[in-house]
Amino acid sequence: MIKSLAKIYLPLLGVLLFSVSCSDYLDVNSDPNNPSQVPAHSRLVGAITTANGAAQWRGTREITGVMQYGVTKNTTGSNRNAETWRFTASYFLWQNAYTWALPNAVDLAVLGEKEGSPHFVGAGKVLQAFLYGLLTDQYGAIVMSEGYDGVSQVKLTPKMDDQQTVYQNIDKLLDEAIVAFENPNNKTPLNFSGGDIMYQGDVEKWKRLAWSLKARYLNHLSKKSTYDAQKIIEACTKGFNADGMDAEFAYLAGAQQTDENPFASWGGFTSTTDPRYFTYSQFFVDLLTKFPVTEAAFVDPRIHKIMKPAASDGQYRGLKPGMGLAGGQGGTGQFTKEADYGPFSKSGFYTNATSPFPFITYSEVKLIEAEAQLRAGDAAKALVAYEEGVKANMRKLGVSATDIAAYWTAQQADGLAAHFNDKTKGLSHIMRQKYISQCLNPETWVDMRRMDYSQAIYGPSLTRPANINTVVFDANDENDWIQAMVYETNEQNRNPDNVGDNSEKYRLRTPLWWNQP
Amino acid sequence: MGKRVLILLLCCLSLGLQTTWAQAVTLRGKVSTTEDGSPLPGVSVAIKGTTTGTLTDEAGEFSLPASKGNVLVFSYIGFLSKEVTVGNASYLAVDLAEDTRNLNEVVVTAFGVKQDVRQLGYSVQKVASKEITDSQQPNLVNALQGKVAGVQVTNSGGAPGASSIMLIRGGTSLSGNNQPLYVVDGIPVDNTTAVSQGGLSAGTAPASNRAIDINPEDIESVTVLKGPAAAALYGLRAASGVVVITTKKGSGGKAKINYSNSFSFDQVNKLPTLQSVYKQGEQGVFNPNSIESWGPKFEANDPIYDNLAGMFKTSFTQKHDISVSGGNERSTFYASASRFDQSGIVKNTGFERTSFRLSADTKVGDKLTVGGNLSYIKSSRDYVSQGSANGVMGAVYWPRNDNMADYLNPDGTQRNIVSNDNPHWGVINKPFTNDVDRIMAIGSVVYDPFKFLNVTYRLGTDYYTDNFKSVRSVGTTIVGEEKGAISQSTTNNQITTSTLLVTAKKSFGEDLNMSLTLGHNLEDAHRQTASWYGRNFIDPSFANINNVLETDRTISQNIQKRRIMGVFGDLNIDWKGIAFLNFRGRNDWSSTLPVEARSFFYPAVSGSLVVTDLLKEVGGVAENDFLSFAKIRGSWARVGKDAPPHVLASTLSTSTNSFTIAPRGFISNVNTYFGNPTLRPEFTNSIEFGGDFRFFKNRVNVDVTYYKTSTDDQILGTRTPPSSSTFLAYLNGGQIDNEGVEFMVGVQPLKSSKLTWSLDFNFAHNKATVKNLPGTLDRIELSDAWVAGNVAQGAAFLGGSLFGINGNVWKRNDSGQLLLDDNGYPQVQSTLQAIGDRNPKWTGGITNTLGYQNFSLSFMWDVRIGGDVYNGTENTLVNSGLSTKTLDRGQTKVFEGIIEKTGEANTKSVVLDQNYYQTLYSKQGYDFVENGGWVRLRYVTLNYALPKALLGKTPISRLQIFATGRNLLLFTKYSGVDPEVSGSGAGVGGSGSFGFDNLGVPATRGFDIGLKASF
Repeated sequence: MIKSLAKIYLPLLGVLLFSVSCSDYLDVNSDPNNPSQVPAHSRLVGAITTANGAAQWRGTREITGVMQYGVTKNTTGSNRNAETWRFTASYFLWQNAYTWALPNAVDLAVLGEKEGSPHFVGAGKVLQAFLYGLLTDQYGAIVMSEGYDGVSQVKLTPKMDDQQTVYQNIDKLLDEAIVAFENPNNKTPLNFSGGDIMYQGDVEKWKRLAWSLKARYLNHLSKKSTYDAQKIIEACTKGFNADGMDAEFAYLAGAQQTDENPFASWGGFTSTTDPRYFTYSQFFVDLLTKFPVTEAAFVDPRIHKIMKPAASDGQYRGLKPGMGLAGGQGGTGQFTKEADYGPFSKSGFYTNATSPFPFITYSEVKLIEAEAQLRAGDAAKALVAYEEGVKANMRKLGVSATDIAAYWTAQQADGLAAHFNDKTKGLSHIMRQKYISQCLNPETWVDMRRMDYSQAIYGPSLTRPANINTVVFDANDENDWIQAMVYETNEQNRNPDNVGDNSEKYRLRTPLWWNQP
Repeated sequence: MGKRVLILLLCCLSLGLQTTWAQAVTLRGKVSTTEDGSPLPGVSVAIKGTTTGTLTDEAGEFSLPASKGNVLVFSYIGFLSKEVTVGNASYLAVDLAEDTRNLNEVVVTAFGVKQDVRQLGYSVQKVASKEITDSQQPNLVNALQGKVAGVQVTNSGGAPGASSIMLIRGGTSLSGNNQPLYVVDGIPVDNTTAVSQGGLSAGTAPASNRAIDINPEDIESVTVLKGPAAAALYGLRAASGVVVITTKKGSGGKAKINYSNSFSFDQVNKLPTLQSVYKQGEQGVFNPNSIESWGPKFEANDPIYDNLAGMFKTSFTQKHDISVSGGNERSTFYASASRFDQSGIVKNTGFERTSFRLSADTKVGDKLTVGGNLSYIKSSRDYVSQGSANGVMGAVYWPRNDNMADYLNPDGTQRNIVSNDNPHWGVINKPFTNDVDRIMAIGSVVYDPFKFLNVTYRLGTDYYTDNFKSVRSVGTTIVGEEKGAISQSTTNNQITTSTLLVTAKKSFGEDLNMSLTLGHNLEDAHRQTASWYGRNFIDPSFANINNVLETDRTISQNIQKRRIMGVFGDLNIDWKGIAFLNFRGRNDWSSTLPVEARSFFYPAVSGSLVVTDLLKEVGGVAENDFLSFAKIRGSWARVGKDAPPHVLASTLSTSTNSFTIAPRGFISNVNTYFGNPTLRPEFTNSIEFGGDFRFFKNRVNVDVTYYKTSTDDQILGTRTPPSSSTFLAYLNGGQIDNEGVEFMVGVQPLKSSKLTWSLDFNFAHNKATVKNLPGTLDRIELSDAWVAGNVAQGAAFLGGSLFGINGNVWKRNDSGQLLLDDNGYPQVQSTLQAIGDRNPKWTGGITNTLGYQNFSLSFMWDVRIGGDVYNGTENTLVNSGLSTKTLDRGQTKVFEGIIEKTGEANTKSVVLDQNYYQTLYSKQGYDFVENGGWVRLRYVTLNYALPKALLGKTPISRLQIFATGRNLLLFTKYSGVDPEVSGSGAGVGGSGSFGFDNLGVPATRGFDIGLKASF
């Protein structure tokens, strides 16, 4: 009996033991759908595209209305909320930058380090610096030192760094990137698998991109006592120094819709009844048809490259933000038919399906340099840099040499050189050219805030939108402009202690650190 | 692996065959029931004082070697044992009387093991075949509504094939699946409810729960194992309870043919009331192009259309079931075929199910029984878009001066208003279809080498293919899909289970019996889904993925694999049938956990004591007429749970979404969870106490249970702040406690030969409290449980309910005063807050069964007391201006509160106009939370069995006709549709989406007639 029991139980025990050791049977948990890790060279393209088409795009989708480039048609509907400053915690640059874009840039640097390819470390850090810069310039304090690092487990309540700290860390990231690009011991070239869609593996250009961004973020500190014009000029010199260096890539036509430039279609321009932006603003049209300071009429040849004229009569017109089509040209009530305006989407250089959406351009670097020279008191050098900045942008847009020359001659005749002897007038030239040459880039919003939305800088055409959000903004104070963004609802709900006061009144109206003396 | 187990098993079997007995005289006999003389198979026949014994076969017959003077003990679960002394006769006819104390008290617990409820130290409840079919529900889960104490079943609406949610004793998981494990004939089967099929949002096209594939007519009984104690043997997947389904089997004797049918008519049960004072327009001005009803008042002679009711029709359903069963003394078989064809109350909706089933077993020699069953099911479902104004309930957005039913323009295109599809156009031109082909196969070998030893091996698989298709025809107003779009997915799902059980029984003296089961279990689950999407049909009339440009197509694949191995032991000790003790332990190894944490053990202890018998035993207290039986029971158990598959590492992806650039290469995968390589198993601990008391010769039964469960260190899929660079992460943390009581009362007020009446009450109360959350989280939100307008969602709140509602509220100061803006209007706070608790205070049912001669009448009241419902439909109606809440439009009001800016009490009067209702009132959820409790007559069924005399000369041996009414009475305070709602269906984990009225197809009421015949 015991014997037969043993005969039965022993094999059973065998089964159990066998099964226990049978760990192969259980090794089915590695994700069969997606890899956990691929080499850095396979991550570069995604890091670049998402920094652009996720982060920078979502950082400008609504801000395009705030910057008064684009205006919506209807006087109702959620599209109009942006241009009338009705921002809530449902503004989503935050998540798009932090989730879709940032981890790719961080992983790139971590993988580059691991693989002995410092050039990827450099590219990763340049993109990180750009993303943190984009975020802090819209929100102020942001999560940076406790953010995603590619190694640690997820942090449930990451702390915010104040903007001053963020700026120091951005500058540090760019310094580290420059060191990494200069490292001669690099195993895998950047464009190993064709992922460097910006520079095709040209490390020199990447390094100049790092210097260019250094110049941009140092230049943001124009109201600070630490502002150092010479450092900016030095960075500009080491930054982009010729055409063909702009940090950008062409979007693709004929592929998936999200391969196209979002301003052309998928960014909310497909609705025939209420596209996100219907046409350009009269303010932008004015900048392209009048000279700074004198407001003398002169049609900037770039207008034909950027905009399409009205179908009705071939004229260039724009709307007043907040008034819709019903408000007519510049809010005058005249021209209230759709055909009186050229479209915003697919209108030209910036909003076609294949239009690039540059992070930063040679033109911007030269105009930064012009600003720094002007602030340093060297009007002549400022003028030289200014001329190159403007002309570089014209060349890029395909303006003919004759037209460029004619435009420049007219500018000079309008008193350009003399204007540069006055800081405000000089800045007016520089900022209006930056506005034109940085079309749709959220960097324009930084400039407008730094310039206090001044009419002395941007001309009399820059006014607050109609039908403004008076729950938050003072209806009677024309100087009460939008200053920053509300943190996203998901951050507010899940990380409330670190977000702090996220009321619209506080967030939208409080100037950022760099905009305070 | 399974193969090796099989080989081993064969080895075990061969051992038994070597054993032989010493022959005496062979005694033959037959055991039948005292009541009607029908043969009793499986009765244990043992010679007292020896280990010699046998079981009766399917014909109730037995033979065993015995000598004159031996005492034979006949025993069978549910019957009184009998002792017979062997005399000179070589053939014995024995009849056993049913033990009325234990009538209907045999339940199937783990792995097809039948157990006497008397022995159990925890609460289980059995629902018999008749109760299931009486309810006339195509979805087995719905058939259990109101039947089982502590089991809350919520059907997600009136669409044919809608999913049904079962929660047993609340929920234990904050983010994972809280639904029980479904087991058919000892093999776990799939009850997945797919979430967001074909890339559509969860609320647009909620899928069926796949238990709907089981034909209720094939079911012999359902036993619900409620707690971890009952579930421990099924392993980690049983942490939320087990629904043990036993299917019908053949029995010996003449072959029997059963046929039954039913024909049903359904209509919408309850619709919200819409205002009929104001017509189309904006700000009081008529506008024929507006979709809203903020226009002027209707004139006296204006037609007012009932567009909402116009969406629904009376539906027709028919069902046919045929089965054949029979067998001989060695073999039995059961075969069935069924056809269920249901049309919905909305045009172009329906559910069809065709199933075939074959079950057979045969004895090989005296000790070996080989059996198996095979089912093939084909389920098809047609349904339509819901959950937004673009779906089937779009009438809530349609001005009533316009006839929505007039949905075509003269040129054949859709006639709609502004940006919403006409619902009548939509139900024809935006169809969803779902086709499932499913096979369930189970093979078993039962071997009894000795009287004291049983070896059972069972191998089963459940495989299905699920084809989903959604078409948006050319002409839809959906942005980006104006030129048509198609979403499809194909899922292959398989669960294969191997179970080996070895049970040994031994008696120590006369009083102490022990049985020990050792088991081994393997489970392999595999699910693979391919999804594809295309838009811009080249030929507008042909909806097919091949009919779009390659650049307009996307495709993706998802595979999920999980393997679990378990070994377990189950020791039962029985003292004189008076006191019972049970020890269980199980160790699982799961593929989904890190190697170092994948093995985990969990034990359970339970015991019960029959107090009345104990008193008789020790004190000689005689049986009395008042208290006929009393038993107390208690248990402590722990059950482990693993992680979902493939969540230990973060992954990369090559796709984003339609608001983000196509990445052109690998990027961090934000669509899934942030990987966590440090996950540990989570455990649920439970204690349970209960008592079973019977009075007046068992005419009154009272069963009471108290339980408390605590699940801590949960494997939690939580939402994280975006600044962590992910939206979702898995981590260990959080604790949920469930505490509750259950009462079951059975009364037989009348029991005569002509008239019988029995009443069964069950009532349960459960409170699921979130005790702890990781980090500084104060809630766990569920994005799949968002409702239209995004002002409320399901969420679990720290210190509050697991089944909370997270929603927007008016801005208030700390003392609760409204903070008003400068003009005196209230403001909506930007952060969400707990605005309701969907958990009912009490759930219960009262089932009445009356019999009078050949008539029987049964009806069931389903009661749910408390439990909030978020009325998303009403919220939409406020926006559209069709809500009766907006009838005070134009009136002025001074809101009681303080002006936020100045801090002064408000005196300003404001107009309650369109702007107020659309931009303020409907943006907060608090005012849309309502009491969703109900009392409803879930069903009433009248049966009539034709007298045998009438059937005498026909081949029909039994003929019953019946009529059933479902949901005929509904008493509720809820203002909207039938409050039995679930916004996104049963697929939503954690807190779930029940209690969200989100523009779904409303529940129905109906009427069935049919017959049942045996040949």
